[in-house]
Amino acid sequence: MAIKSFKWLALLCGVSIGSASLAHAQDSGPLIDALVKKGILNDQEAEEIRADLIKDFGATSAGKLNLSSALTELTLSGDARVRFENRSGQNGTTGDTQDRNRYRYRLRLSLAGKFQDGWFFGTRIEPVGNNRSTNITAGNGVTTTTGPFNKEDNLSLGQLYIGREMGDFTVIAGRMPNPLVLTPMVWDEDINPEGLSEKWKHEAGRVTWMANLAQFTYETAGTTNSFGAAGRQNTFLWAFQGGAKVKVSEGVTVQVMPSYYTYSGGASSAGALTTPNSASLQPLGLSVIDIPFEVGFKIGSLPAKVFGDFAYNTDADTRAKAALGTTKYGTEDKAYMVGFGVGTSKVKGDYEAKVFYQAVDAFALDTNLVDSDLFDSRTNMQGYGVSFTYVLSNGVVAKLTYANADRKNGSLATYGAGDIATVNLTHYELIQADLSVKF
Amino acid sequence: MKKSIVILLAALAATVSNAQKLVIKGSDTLGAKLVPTLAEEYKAKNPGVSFEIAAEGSTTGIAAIIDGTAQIGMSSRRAKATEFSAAAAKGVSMKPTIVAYDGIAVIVNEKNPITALTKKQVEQIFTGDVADFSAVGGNAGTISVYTRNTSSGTYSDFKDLAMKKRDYASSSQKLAGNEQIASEVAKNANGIGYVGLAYTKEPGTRVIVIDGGVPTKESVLAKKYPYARPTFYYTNGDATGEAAKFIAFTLSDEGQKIVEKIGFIPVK
Repeated sequence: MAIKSFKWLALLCGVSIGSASLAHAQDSGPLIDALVKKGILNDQEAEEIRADLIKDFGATSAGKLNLSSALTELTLSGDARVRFENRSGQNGTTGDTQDRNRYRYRLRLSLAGKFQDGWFFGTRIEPVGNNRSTNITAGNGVTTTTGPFNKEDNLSLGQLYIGREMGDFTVIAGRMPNPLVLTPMVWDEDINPEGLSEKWKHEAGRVTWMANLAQFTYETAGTTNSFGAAGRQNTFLWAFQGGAKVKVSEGVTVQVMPSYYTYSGGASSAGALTTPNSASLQPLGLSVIDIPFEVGFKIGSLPAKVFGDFAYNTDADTRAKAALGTTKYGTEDKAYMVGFGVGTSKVKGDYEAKVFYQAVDAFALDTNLVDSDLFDSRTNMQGYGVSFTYVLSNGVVAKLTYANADRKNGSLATYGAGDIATVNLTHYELIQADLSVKF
Repeated sequence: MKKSIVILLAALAATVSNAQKLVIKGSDTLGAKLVPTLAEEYKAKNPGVSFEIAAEGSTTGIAAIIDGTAQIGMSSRRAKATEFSAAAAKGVSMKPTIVAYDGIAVIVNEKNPITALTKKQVEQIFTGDVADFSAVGGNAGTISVYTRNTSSGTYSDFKDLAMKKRDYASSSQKLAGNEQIASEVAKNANGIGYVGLAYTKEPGTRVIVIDGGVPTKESVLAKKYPYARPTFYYTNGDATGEAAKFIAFTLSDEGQKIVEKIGFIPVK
């Protein structure tokens, strides 16, 4: 008995040193083997101890998880955020100003896994089905029958994708994190596009070459050849992006990713550009060349960057004519952003500050994709934004954002489906205060 | 007369009630040759004992202990954590007893010029990364991989020991037992498979040297052969009754001589 106790003591000491937790006891195989080699345990004793450790582990919380043996990695992650937001806008027709104060929160929960041979999958549950917002607004959805604290939220499948990595090449299918290099001028970061993407990334010395292709289902027509009716086609967004990131010198990098977006089909019959305060389901007159760029460098020990984006819609005449019946404003076809950022936001005590200026012509971009916060989901706006992020503790982040913009061309509407209820938004301001946890 | 019949029936009933039936299920590696031989020898010494032996794979042996449908579960692999959990949920405390050692031998057809492979090459062949023997120094020819079926402990052990837990080649053919694998490899010049030590004498096959080693008593006991492993009887806690006696017989000098004679490596 005393000998057996000594052997257990030897093993447990080893386990304690090696892993600090009996929950890791199933990883003690090498330690048991080493004790056998040293003659402290014989094979039979080792087997009995191994079995006992597995039994003990099975009684722990972790030991009750039963994961598929096909998985090589499973990751549970997510983030939660509470936000105060004020957005205000001036109606150019009446001169009146509208304010909106919202207390918002969200949870995004991701489950992703890897398999052998480069296969992987990812999912993300979000509380709201909106394509450009995952926020729940406190006090929203109150009715005479429900009263306050009504739960307007539902669980939505924010992401679901399956992919395979084959060396430098990755293919993804499903509703995915945006695979393109982008800025919020062109793409709201909450959008998880659906379809196929192909990514290629190859490092050659100081240059990392990249190519991203995407075939996104923009809108489905449902039945494309219905009985006795004219055929309709699914609408697709096609993205072609290729560029490189060059390490110019120690701490200095330059990345340029020229892109081209075009559309095919036309599932929706909604001529939404004629009612420009609605989202345009019909991506008419969009053939956009876009060049996001970023120059990274250091200021002292702090990382810094100059970033920006330039976009040009080669088919703006068509878009202008759809909206106004004339091509007179077809020259409203360009958008640009330039900004500066300093700092980082990875670990406790880190901070990051950003400032940018952005000007978007009325017919330069797809109003269904642009960021929903900074300039209220609209084109024909110009202005600036600033943000400051501070990491309170590892995984706990505070962020303040302010944006201020004006209508760019006073003769045109501010196209897009924003929160401020006017097509003539002459001035817009946004304040957001966020507290987030990431895990 | 009536009294005689009653006495006869009582005697018959007593005989039936004294007859012990030992149910043993599980590993084909152990159950195809070794355990039946041990059982025959045991029965010769204990005429009142009968055996029911089913060798359909280690998974079935462990499941039988969990379900209580066997007194001894034969297994050529260790029970998995999920099996221990399933047992615990049913109030079963699985206890392993090492009864013999084994080395999983990689075998090819005797006409195959390849005599040695590295562990990496074995992994490549069985996962399908390499599909032609010319890629590992042999004659050109599409490799036919023979494996055990998924309920086999050897199937599972070989994945762990030789394949970094990767999947078998999709073209691999799954066979029910060691003897079938040896037989198929003997018939197919481009065949390759694996068998327990007791099945390496099949005419027409040859054992491959792995990283300079072959499965021998010395290399297995010294744990130098890369595909060496213990084999087990599993019981619900400490065995009792006839099961305990049979396990003791297996571990006795006499039992271990049989272990060695069949082709396994004795535990002592």
